[in-house]
Amino acid sequence: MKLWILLLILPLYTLHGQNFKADISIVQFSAPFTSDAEISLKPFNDFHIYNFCITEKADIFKKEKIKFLPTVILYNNGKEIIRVESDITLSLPEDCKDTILKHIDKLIESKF
Amino acid sequence: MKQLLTLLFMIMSLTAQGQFFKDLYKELFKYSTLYVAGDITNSYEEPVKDYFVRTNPDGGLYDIPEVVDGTDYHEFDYRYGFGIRKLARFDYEIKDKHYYDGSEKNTGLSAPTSAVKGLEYVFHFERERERGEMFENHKYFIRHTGKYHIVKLESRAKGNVDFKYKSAEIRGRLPIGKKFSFSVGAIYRSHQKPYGYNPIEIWLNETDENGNAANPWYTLGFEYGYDDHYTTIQYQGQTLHEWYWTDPDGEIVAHTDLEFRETVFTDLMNQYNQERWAELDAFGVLSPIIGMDFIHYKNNFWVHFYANYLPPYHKYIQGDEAYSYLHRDCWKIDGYDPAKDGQQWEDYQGGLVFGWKLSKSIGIFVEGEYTKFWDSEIYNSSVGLNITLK
Repeated sequence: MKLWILLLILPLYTLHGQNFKADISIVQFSAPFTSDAEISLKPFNDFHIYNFCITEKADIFKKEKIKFLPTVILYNNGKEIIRVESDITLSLPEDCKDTILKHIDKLIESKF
Repeated sequence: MKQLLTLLFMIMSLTAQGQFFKDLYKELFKYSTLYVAGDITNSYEEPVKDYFVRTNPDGGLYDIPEVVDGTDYHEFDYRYGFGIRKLARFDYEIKDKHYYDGSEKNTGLSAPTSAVKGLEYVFHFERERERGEMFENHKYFIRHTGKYHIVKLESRAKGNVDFKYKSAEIRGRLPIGKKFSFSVGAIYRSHQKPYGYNPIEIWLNETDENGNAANPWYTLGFEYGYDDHYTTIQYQGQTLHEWYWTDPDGEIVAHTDLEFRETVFTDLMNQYNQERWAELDAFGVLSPIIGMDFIHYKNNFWVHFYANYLPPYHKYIQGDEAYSYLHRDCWKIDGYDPAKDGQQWEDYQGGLVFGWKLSKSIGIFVEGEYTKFWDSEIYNSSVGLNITLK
């Protein structure tokens, strides 16, 4: 009986855990004072996109070990693929979008 | 100035065209694979050899006979084909081989939702020799999936089982969350087979005004050039009367009516049915379709469940409806009963792929698909428990 309960609970737990990392997801971690440095996530509209603000989701920032703001992370099925962080000027690298697109391209290519 | 403007316009136009073709190429061919492939395998070999004896041509019935190997031997089987494919695998699907050869079976071909959005396709054509016979097969599949739509066209043919199928569907899609989607639309499907209609049964059961058989069973032999001959045999002082049968070349094929009925006649019945069925055009039916997909994937746990349901509101738009599946119950041994209404039916399809790696060394895997279209049921399933010893 315990095994059956475990068999039911574990998948449900797994299904609800960390949805923002599901499939191909692009997450921008930022704060109100770095909003000017954020990039637009519109080019990634075909995938799951999230904008997280430190004032609202501090626990996620801590869990994901975000040290620089803003930071953009590409996830694939729960796994971190690439992390693009801002520098001391609080701005993301110019090639941030291209870098992420290049990695997305590789992920999609691996499906064919 | 005018020349300069023309030149500028031409450069802009070419650049725009260049971008257009670049985008077109990206949409149509990026990630696609062109392939030519084939294989050669041993043909089927009879498990037991089949021998018979032939009377020695230089002797009589009681001389040493000639032993002849009557086993069917076939040349090797082979298959060759070519194609182009751009069909994404779901994350839980692994590539069987390092290359594509057209024999791949992807969940993406039957699940309503695809692994990626956009255009996907498979165009595959092949010829194969199986047990000495040549067949042609094809698989043409094209689908466009967007956030709110699914458009799919498909045509399949498998020569060795005389299977042909075409379908076209369009659906509106509603994603609910990231893992669940619901779709509703219409689908056109074709089928070759007439249901409920058995021509030979009707032909044999036809009666004249006196209630006698209008087509006695043995007259089918006459239709195909066979003939029966009356003969008498003296056996142990008795005179026996019998009919023996010859084929259109005059060769004896059966020594009695009973032998003819149990051998040649059976083949003629099937031939008669095939010929009558072949006279009918293919059927095309339009149906509503409701589908759902649930997919969750993580490296150690994945579930993909999908289902399609075709409710009983089917409308035949091609072929003679009297012979269609809708009127399958209208056929009796004495023919078609127009007084009977067509009977609607439900078709459905479902699939499940489940994998759970409980630890680095233990994994449970379940895969299965069930399809019920008309009176055809197709199912396959597999289950596996893997324990890796270290």
